[in-house]
Amino acid sequence: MMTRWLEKNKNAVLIVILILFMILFIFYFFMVRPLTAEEKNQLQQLNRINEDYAFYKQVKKNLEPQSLTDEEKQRLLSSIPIRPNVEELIKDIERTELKTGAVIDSVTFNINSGNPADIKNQPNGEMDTENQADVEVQDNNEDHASEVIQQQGVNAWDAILPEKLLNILKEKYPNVYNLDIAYIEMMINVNGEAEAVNQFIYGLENLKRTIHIQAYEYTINEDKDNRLEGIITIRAFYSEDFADFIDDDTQFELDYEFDPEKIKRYIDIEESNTGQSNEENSLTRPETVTEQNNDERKEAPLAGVNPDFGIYQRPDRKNEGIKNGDPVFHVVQAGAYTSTKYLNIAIENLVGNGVHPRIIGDEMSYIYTATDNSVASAQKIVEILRKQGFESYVKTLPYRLTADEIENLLPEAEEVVSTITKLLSDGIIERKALITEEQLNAVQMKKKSYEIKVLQMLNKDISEGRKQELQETMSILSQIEEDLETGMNNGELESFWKIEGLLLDYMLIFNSYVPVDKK
Amino acid sequence: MEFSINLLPQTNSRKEKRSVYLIPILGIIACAVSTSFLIYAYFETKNTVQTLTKRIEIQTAARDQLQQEYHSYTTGATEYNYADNYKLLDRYLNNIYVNTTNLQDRVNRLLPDLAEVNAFTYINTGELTFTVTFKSKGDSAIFLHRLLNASFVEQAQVESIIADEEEIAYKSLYQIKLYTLVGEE
Repeated sequence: MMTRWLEKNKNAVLIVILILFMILFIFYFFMVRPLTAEEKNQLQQLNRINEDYAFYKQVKKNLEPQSLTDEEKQRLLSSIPIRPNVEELIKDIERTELKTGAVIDSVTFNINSGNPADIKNQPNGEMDTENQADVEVQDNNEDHASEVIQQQGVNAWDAILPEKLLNILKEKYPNVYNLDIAYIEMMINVNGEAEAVNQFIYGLENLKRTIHIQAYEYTINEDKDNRLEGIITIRAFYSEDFADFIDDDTQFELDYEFDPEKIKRYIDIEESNTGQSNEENSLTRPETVTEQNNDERKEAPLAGVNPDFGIYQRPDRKNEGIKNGDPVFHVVQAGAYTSTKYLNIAIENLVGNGVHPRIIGDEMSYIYTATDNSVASAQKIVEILRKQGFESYVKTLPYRLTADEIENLLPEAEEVVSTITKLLSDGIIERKALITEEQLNAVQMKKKSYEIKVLQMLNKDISEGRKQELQETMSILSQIEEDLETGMNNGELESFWKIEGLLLDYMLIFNSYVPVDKK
Repeated sequence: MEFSINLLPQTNSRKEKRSVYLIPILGIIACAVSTSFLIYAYFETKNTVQTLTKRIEIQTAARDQLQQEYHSYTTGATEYNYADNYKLLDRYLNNIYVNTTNLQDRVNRLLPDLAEVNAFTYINTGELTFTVTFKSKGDSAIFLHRLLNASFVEQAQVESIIADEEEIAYKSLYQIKLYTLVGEE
């Protein structure tokens, strides 16, 4: 029966079986096969992940803390410091200014911290060279700061580089692009001879500090003897990213001497302020610098000055400056220093060469080596010192005396000083410490005349302080007299320099300079 | 009326019966085995895929963490790269722009004799506005020609030539575009 049915439906049975196989094939093709492919795919993925894992594990294991040699550290910190280091920039700019002869009128500073979140692009500080000590930080440019924040992109570099450079940076130096960079933008107003200003810019470009000159513009002023008047915009970079790994233990110290003589503009101003027109002073220019009236001066930077030498503070008494016809005297100035270290070195060098200098504290410390009533005679001392390697010049100072003293005491004081200085100058110039009895008698005579006048002054209604000063001048003259007598016998040149020092003491105390006891 | 006479031996008839059953039975068995195998393979693979997915998730997380750690050690300035990055930054910043004085000298060297520079406005993107007084208009043409042929000048044009009222001199204004990037020339 079954057999017959099968025989009868043989084809149908075969078709059913075939259909079943087809269903199985479809199941395999659409279900099992993709799943197997996925498995294979996932296995490959897992292998890749494992390889990545092993790679990162290995490279992480190979990471070693880095370090810099002292030399590299110093070089990099000088080039791109880890903080703005504006003080170093001011120093660099002034050193370059002094070296090149360019004259800076003003410098403005604008710190761009590079971080959009905390940009403190602020205090547009302006350093006015006429009043460098009072660099005032103005806090009035919040608008500008917010403007800069808006301009800032996500990365600090976006604000620093043009797009073209930025793309190259991202592509070629991704590590650099990931570093935070900041800068100080400075606008320097400068003038001077074209060559000097170009040297100044060359100097800036070759500073140890990394600097970009963003813009430079100038005009030649034909009305001012073809002087170049320009504005230089520079950026000096720094990166705080490295602060966690490097100790910036560099000490800030001025490594140059500020010599106002080199800033020619100041000399012009001083000369024009004095208003002197007498022939004697005009002969000394440009080497003669006359003292300026300066009521707002500050305490001298005398702390740390070698106390073995005579130190004086300029009197506080108001001085109107030197007017035409005012009595003046001259000193030989052998330097002006803001740095105690260099002041002491200069003093020691002078002393080592037998000179007995005196130090005058003022806005800066001055070294005086001799005094004279005649500028020509003082100029000869300058030349002697210059030959010995000491840059010196004649400085003209006003007598700080009352009208009564000018009338009744000054002629005798000038007489005694000129007699002594002539004797000393001749000896120093000819390098012969010879004093004749005749010269000594002349000094003694002049000294006696002076003493009589002083005694007359002491009987007048003058202050106790002034009385003491005048008495002190008499004792200094007595000391000089003694030394001259000794000098007659030993003939040593150094004794002349010692007397020059005493004569400086005399002139300074006579003019109410205040001795500073540093001992 | 039809008659059917079977002349074959009885054994042949049995064989025929067997063959009738054989194919369907084999087919059904094969089908059943295949089905079982495929179902087994399907679930087995599915399980494996699930396991793999989990492992991938775990390993990916581990790798990502490691990768993140590695990047934190190597991105920006870290104790593991600060020396290299510091030197690279220094080298990069010092090799972007050509020195301004160098460019200025090169421009000045192109000036004819007796030419006097009156004004100079330079931006480090390359723009330079230059005012020069020449003794003749021909000198200003010579200077322009030299600028156009200079390797460090991208483009140059003269904006104006104005004769001086008091002496024989001509003030010329130039707009120049310089190559200011290192290696750009």
